[in-house]
Amino acid sequence: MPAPRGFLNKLVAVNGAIATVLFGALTVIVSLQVLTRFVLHMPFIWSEELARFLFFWVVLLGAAMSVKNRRHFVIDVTMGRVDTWSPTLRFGFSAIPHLCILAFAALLFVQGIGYTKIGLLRTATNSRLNMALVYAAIPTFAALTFIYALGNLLLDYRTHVRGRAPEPLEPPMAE
Amino acid sequence: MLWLLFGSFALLCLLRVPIAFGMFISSTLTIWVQGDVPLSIVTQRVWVGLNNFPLLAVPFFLFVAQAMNETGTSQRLIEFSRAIVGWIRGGLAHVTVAVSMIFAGISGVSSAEALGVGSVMIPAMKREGYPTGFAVALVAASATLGNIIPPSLMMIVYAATAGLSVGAMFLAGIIPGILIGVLQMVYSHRVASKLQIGDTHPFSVKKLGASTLISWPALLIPILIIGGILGGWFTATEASVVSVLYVMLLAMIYREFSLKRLYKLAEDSIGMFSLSLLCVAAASLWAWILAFYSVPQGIVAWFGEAGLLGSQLSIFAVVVFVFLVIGSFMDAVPAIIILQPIVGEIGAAGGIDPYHLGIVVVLTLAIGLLTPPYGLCLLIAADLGGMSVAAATKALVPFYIISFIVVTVAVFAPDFILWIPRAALANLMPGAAP
Repeated sequence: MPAPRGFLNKLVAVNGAIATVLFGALTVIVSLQVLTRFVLHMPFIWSEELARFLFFWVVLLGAAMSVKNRRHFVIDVTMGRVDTWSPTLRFGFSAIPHLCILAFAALLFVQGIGYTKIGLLRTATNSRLNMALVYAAIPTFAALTFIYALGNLLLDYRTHVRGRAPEPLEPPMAE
Repeated sequence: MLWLLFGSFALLCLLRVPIAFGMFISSTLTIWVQGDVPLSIVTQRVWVGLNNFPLLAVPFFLFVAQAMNETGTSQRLIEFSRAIVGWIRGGLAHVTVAVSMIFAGISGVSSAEALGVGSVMIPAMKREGYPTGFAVALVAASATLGNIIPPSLMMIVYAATAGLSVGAMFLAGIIPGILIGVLQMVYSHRVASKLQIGDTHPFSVKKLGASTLISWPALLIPILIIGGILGGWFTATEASVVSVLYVMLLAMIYREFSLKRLYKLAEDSIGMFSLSLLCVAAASLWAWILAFYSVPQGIVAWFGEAGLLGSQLSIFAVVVFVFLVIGSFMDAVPAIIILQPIVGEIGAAGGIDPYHLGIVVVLTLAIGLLTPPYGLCLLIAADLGGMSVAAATKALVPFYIISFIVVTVAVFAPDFILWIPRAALANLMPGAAP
């Protein structure tokens, strides 16, 4: 694999790598839970809890990645008619979703930091983990989403208005 | 309040804001304008919505579906299906339905199934003279079984949203799934007889033996999942992780895996399941607001005044109609989480068994996978067959009828549909025989 170029592509590659490693860990932990229940007849008390925490992180890291890759479900009411519009109009229309996501990400980041601070005072029942470690996934998701949405906005500006060829995107993934 | 929530959400969708963010933003806006609760509820609901153990089955089953296509398991299952049903008139059509049913017993995602089965079976059927429209429609329609025969992504999300047992929901899908598969085969047989096609593969014990030998490890997965849940050994989540391990073991045995491919596959799956699961998180906030302002109760009261709660039949008619329309425009997962809080309340007020309601909703949403503009199976199959969505939709008409027949059966004969989960999980199911 050639090393990804550009800050955003590097960031999303690291984002994906961390998510994938955590997903691997999640698989191992749930497997251990099944195994200990069947073989030892006594599952670890911490495994179910830890699995939920890892799942939380994996989902939010993955969801941020999908903001960058523009894969989130959209209802397409325009049925491709946008392509016939003038470049400026097209950019204006494509900017709206990015701006909405930016605004929400900013709010979620502020709220998420507050929530993480509350988490500092809480400890998980079985795994004795500090809940701030878990809740921190929310501001992380918000910050990454903000950066990716901003990147997409700038990219759209360059392609539609300035008429420059888009930067090479990630290879399209199979659905 | 209701107008603000639904109105801003509809507006955001029209402006092409992704559904999950549309739900987040319209809920946040409503909370901010109403000012009854602090905005910190937003973060709290993201955590509560995802902090749900049954949801862990979603990534695992999705990963298995991706891995099946990636490791050539789909290919081996097609060979096996060819040996069991390929000799009947309309052979390849029966193979398509049979392999879709087996695939459905392993994966819970219809789009992966349409892609995996369709990329092989559509060209194969075309070569043997089947009309392209029929081949495309059959692949699309049989792929919907992925969400009906357990495991099923839609059922996991429905059960998690409605607070039902995922295992019981799964078992409720067995009878309707088989019913749809059999009706599709009957129809295929009629088409093949009329066109005098598809009668070229004589039955051979040798082939059956050989293909069983290479595909039996994969065939164990549905037995493991359904048997495990039926026997009460596994929960759905545990069954999902067991199938992940099993598929990886198979890949190692068949030597079809490198670490690099595994990494790519996992990363790609994460990108995919996070789409549905972010919707779950957003819907958790959405549902909380609805509950806080007693919206479901309000709608139930409105239904009562309109005289629609009088019979269960009228409730079902409304539910089927609403999910049919919504399912044509958006993915099934957000459709379920947006509407389930309301529909569940209406069903409860009408005295409908929640599993009965759930299976009717899932069967209806499965039709939405086949209807334009947003029918994933339709879009994938039409693309694979190289035909327009409009032409493929026309070819799908007989299959719409088949699915409707089964929805009707599910509405009118709950005792027949829910027989398996009631017998297996008697303690979980209301209305089960003692």
